[in-house]
Amino acid sequence: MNSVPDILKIHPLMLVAAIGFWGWQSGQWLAAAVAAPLLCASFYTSLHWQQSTATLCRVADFCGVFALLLGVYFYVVHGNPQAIILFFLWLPMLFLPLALTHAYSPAERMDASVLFWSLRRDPLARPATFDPWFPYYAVWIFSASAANNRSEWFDIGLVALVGLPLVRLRPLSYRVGAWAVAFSLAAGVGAALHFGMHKTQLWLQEAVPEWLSADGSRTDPYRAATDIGHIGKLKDSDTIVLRVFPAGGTKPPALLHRASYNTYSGNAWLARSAPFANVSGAGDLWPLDKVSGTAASTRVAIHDYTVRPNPVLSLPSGAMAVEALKAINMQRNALGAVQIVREPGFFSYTVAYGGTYALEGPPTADDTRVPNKEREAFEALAVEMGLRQLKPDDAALAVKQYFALGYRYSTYQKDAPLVGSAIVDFLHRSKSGHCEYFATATALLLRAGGIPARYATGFGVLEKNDLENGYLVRTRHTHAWVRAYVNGAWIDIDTTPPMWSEVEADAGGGWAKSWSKVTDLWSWARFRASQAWANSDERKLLIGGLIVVLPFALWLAWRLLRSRTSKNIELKQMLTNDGRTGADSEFYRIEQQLAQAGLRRQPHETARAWLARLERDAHFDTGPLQEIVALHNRYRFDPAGLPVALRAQLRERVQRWLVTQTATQKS
Amino acid sequence: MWKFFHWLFSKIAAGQRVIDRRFTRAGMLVGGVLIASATLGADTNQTVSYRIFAFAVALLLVGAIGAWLQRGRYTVVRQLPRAVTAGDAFHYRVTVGNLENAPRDGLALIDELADPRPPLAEFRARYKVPTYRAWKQMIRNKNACEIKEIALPDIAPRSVVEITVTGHAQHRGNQHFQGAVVARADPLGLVRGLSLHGVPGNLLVLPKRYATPPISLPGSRRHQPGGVALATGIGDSEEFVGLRDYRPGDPLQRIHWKSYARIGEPVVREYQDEYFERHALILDTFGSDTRAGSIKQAATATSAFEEAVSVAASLAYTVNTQECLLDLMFVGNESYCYTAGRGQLSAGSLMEVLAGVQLCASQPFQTLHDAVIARRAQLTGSICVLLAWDDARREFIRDLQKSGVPLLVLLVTKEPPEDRPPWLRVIEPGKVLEGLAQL
Repeated sequence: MNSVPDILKIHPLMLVAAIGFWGWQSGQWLAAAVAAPLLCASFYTSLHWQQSTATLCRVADFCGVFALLLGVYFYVVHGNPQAIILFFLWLPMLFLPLALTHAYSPAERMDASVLFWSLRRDPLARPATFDPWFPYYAVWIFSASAANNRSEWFDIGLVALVGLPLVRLRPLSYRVGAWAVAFSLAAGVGAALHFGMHKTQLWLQEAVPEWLSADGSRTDPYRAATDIGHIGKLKDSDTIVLRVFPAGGTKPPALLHRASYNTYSGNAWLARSAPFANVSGAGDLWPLDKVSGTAASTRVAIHDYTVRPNPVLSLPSGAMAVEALKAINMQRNALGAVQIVREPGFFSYTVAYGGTYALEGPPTADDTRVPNKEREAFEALAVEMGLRQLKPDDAALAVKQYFALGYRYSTYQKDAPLVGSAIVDFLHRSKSGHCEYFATATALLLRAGGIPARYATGFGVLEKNDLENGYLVRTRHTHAWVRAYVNGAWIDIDTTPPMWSEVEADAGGGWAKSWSKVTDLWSWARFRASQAWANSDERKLLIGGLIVVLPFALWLAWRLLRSRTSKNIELKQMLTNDGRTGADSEFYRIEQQLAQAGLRRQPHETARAWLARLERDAHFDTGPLQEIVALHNRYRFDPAGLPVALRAQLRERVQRWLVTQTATQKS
Repeated sequence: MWKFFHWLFSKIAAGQRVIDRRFTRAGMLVGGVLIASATLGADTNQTVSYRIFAFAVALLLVGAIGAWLQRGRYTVVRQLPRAVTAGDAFHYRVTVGNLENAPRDGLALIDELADPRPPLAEFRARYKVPTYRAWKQMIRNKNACEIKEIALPDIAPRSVVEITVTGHAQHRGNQHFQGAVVARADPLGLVRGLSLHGVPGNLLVLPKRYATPPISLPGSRRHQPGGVALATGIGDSEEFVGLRDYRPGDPLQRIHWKSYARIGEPVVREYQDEYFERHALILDTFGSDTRAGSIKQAATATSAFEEAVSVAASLAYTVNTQECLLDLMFVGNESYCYTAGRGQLSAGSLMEVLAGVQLCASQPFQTLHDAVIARRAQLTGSICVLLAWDDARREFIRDLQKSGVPLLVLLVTKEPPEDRPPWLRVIEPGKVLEGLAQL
């Protein structure tokens, strides 16, 4: 590390500005209003306490442990990425105790071992120190960005807070004008760069299939991008998305529906003309069917790992009410999607289902439309199968049987479609694809046969979890099927070969399966922790937190008090008017007495050299003085000072020597 | 695995060097913020950290361009001392000249020491497991000196300044200086433009020495056949005592022709055999296998050896070689013997020899045993500085005692043996001064 001295010292008002910026961006004005004056005052007050590096290490350790605990709490309650964001948002406050301890100590620099454990274990030949104020200044500004305040004021504040120290730091042979040109250029390039970065991300979100960008657990009720036409192998992860617990040991629903779509365009399904309407709930109960009762229905408890604040619920067919759901708002659309707004973190709910009630509204013209590109092929097939001549339920059965013969499930697409449409290519040539191919082809074929149909997405409930007597739903269980309007009701038609779940499960190798067991265990631990947290009393948690923090706070206060009463008073006693430590040493009385006897100490001589000269030249017995000089030197030059007992010893020995010497002279 | 870790650690060390040279402290802070904001700002929808990231990238980019444009032209002349002592601070002068027509400030001088990264074979031979901690320890041990960069005063156009650089000699050895770099920060004060200068140099770091009380070396004067010169070399060179008349049988080579010419009678030079003390300072270079244990054990073994060398250096410096000869004996790739005193090497030269002594892994202890025993007839006393008290060393000391050579045996170890004889003096690494004071 380079050792050019830090010429620039932070101005306290700069620190106040950075803290104020953080408070402004995060909305945590109260915290900023506490931290800023406390830190700023340390620059103006003379009230300082001597703190050893060991004390600072302890405070840093406490801050580290506290940060770790808070990080775990954020992770359990909010999940990532919210936990990471919250952690960084509160980072400067987490290290405020360390900053305050340093601020109110007389030392300007901090030993690097306070923050780096490796230096404590393996110390350098010479201790490395640094000025912590600029890094701490940077942490406040950086943490302000976690608040995600997207106005231009953030950029203006950032540029001002960075420019302020840089203009003072520049080599003086550069004129301010040259600096201003360079800094403006950097600000301009930075602005262009961040604009481009954000635009690129937005473009990527649009361009990349949803399942790749959001691991399948995220559902957009307006649009479902598919992997139809994707060449190569598809692989979804084993991440657990839902935990499903059917009530009373009943069988779980085979499918959990999230959203349906009525318009196929390009390779995506869209929900057109399906606006959301509010659902009124009472407490934790959110009735979906206000006509039927829910007493006789089956119930299933679902624990959702989605951390988004506005998730779409996973509901079984025939859902009548959602119970035990802590939500701020609930909305539903005519296509059967139910979306809520809630506090961030994991959430759970119980669904009462099993009646004849369907969330979906009656079919519309959109539910029978076949896109122009695919129309000819599907209508020709519908005619060939005579679907329009069959009763709707027979037609649905015929379609199901049609896909059961000659079509196979595969997550691998070898080559691009030979004809224009990937779905037509699947229908006539490849006859191989994953659930999106089957669901889309089924929906379009039913529509060509005159039966209204929608493309539905959600999850298959397939994996029993004996450990918890429930079911696990993973990302790879994400599924697509069709909801067809048959005989006045919407029914689920799943034409994907049933072996799809086995194919998906076998896709990973042995290593992946072993790793999956580890992640499952971790997921289970997080689930249990979040449940325990959700069910615990907040007051108890607060008391628990205080039990952890209070002893440390008391210990720190005691340490401060102790250092104030012992070390500093001692230091004060040692400091005399000329500001030198130990200048009041009684040894100078001996020096005076010997000077009067003509044995004066020369200005260039150390005490020991002086005694050696006396012994050599004047044959003076310096034996009794050796220990006095040792104590005197320690009192004068030892940075840790002289313990009280030894200080008294010095005083007493000098006194004794003076008495003896006077008596000798008289005799 | 070794190859990969060696490659990785080398790259990390190279990266660290680039960061240290290229960035000011403010630049390092901006770099740290850049990394943190890249982590937090990966998703531009979640936070606005990506704006900080973009700004930090732009600052460093503009800074790098500015630094490259403003790096300047300079001259550097370094005047190194020939040798310094390990553990001490040392000073040397450097003259830096500004070749530009404009004044320069905010300059820093970085002395470039030899690349301390060990080659793969050396790293592998030293440690059992390739850890970064071991790598760092090795790098630390490879650099004999530590020289921090120094801020230069402002330099007027086309003028020079002379500064005094202070370094710290950490270990004994030869420190090579590759060159010097004059660094100048960009207008933003973040990135530095470097002006490289090939000013090589060498600095010998002598072993650390401790204050040693006057030592009365064991043994008495002994006949040294052939005199002082032959005591360390070959040839007939007894000590000249005077002239005397020729006696029949005197060799013609001893006739002093000038005197013969002056008085007309044959006169011969008379010589007398030499009697003086000759001591051996035997340094044990056979440390324990550093690969056998942990990094801590390796460090302990190295530290014991370094202290043993310091003890040997302290003793070599203390012995008055005006009146006796001192043979420094040790084994490296072969057995070595350097003699100081009475027209031979000086004590300072022995220090230079000791500066280069290394642990010996290629030879057995028996090599030293044989070399010393072969010289025992000439020795009046021996000081042995040992690193262990095992069977081989016990036998060595026993043989020396049997041959009647008086001995002073010092054992430098952290763990004194339980069965040590009373004449064996144990010196604990880290407490050498106390140990030597008790001699």
